[in-house]
Amino acid sequence: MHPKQKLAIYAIGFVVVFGFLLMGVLTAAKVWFPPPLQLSLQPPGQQPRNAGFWRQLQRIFKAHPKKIRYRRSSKRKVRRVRRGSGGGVPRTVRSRQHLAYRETVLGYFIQSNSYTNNPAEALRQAQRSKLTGPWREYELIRLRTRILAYQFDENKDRSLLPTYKKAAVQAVESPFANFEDYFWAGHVYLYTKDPRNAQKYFDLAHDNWPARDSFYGYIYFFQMCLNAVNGRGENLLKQFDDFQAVFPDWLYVEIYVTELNELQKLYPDAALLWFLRGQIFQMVLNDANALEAFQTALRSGKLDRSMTAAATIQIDRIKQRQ
Amino acid sequence: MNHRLQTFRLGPSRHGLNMALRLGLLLMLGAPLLLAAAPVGGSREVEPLTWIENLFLVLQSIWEIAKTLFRLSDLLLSCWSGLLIFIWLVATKYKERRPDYPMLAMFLAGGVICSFFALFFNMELSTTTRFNFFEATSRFDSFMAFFIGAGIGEEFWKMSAGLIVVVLALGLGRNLGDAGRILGFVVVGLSFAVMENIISYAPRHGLFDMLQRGLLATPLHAIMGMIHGWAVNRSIRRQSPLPLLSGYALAVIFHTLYDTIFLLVDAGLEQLGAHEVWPDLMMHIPHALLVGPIVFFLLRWAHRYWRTVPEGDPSTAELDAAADWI
Repeated sequence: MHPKQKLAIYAIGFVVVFGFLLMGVLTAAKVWFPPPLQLSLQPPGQQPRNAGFWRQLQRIFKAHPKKIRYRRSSKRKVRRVRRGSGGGVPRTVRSRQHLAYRETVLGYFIQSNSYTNNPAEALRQAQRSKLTGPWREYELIRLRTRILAYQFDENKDRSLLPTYKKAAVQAVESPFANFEDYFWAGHVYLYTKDPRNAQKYFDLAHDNWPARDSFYGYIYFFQMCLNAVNGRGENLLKQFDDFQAVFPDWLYVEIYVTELNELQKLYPDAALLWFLRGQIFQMVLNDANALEAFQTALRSGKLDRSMTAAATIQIDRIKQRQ
Repeated sequence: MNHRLQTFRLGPSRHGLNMALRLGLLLMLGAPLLLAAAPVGGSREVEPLTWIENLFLVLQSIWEIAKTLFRLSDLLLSCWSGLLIFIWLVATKYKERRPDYPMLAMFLAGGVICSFFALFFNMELSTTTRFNFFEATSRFDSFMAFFIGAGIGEEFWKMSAGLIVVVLALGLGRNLGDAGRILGFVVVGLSFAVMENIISYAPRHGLFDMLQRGLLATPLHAIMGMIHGWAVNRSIRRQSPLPLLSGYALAVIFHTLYDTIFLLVDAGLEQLGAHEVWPDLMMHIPHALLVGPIVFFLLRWAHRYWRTVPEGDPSTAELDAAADWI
């Protein structure tokens, strides 16, 4: 055999053998040396340097998915709202007549509510309106859903839940259903222990919500809670990174921690809800509550390996701070 | 007929070469598309990507590369030293014959393609393992990243690309010669370095970084190519695969050494307590002082070796003598 032919065999052998070895090394590194957990709240001294060019390289080839999500969900749709004449119409109505009917119904409701505090009476009066259209039935269901939702939200009375659920499902099944109805459907499914449907409707609401307002923040918050309920710790940590940017009232924990209290009663097995609680209290530097929440999460023994590590690290940080 | 003219005659008999060149070009254009369409890490439940968004990513990556390529200053800063090294090598060696430019174009395509493979491998390494290059939790992890990603990985991709082109040349019946093979591997290294400069460094780094890349990193890649070529020629003469392994190992050692010296600088500054106050720009000085001698020593070896390389192939008698000696 000519030496050059031998070289061809050696070369092919080199490429094949070392190629497999290289891929083996990469796979072994992936299995045995996974990347450390990137916790959402890092003390100022431990923040990673922004000088890493591999991270910037990634930005060339992989645009960050979060950017796309925000662009799709909010920016474009806000731009599409009509300005000038014809502007100012809510995006949940189909026509001027539809809007007029809604205003009538709301007017009756406000008038009667102040005296009777009876939504049924308001609805009965609203049905006397002469305005008709295919949206008439939907508007009544919608108003009923909102009333029940606000009543439930005020005192968390679980006896309201069957009625509330029926109304919310009717609203969602209507051809006039919009992003607000998706939100309330997700809300009622979450509180009736149906996380799968809740996830579906919160995702729909998230994708269709037209602006980055307070309600959008609540969608995000409930999605975090759902991740905690479903045991998806990694997703929870990722979402918590943007919590302050998305949720305008993040500083006022007492406003939204009531939701967490209720959910913890409903889902006592979800240890990640305790973890989320700890993250939230640590965010506002309430070390005592955060420590208690993290320790409860750890004591439950239901956290997976990575989340146990995360909780332990957070506890260490709190203790160092103290 | 003058053999110089024969080199450029691409008739029907060179059909295979033509097809290979076209395939190389197609792969060159296709590699970024494949890379950009690769699935993004993380759960799809939180961050779903539709096909239209993937298409958007592809277009965006092509646009980013095109923007960098069309920025003339970046392009010049990325490839000036590569061009100089290539011209110097050709001018000092080829007195009697002309380099096989079509095959050198194949080597160039190989270097460009393998740079994308290396890019993907390094991205995988730094994002899915703890061996991150500059943001690892410990210096050992950082060292391992440079050892696996830059040392073992990049040298493997470059050497494989060169070897595949060498085997292709054998199949096509092209007589590269000793110098041609070395020049080919150097072209692979240079094109790799230039692509690395264009993609990774030029868009984000300043003039000093680019000058340092041109003066130190690009020559280092050329020298690594020369080591690969030396190993291949030695493997032909000895008729043994061992020189390939030793050449690869040498290249891995030098490349890892070059890349990890900045870790030493970092550690030294920390020991001196100057880590926080030392300006980033001044990092070039100790780094260049430590790396410069290594590159200088290797360049001297490369210069001396290049002078002794014959232009053509070894004669049959020479090969027989080598085989007898073994």
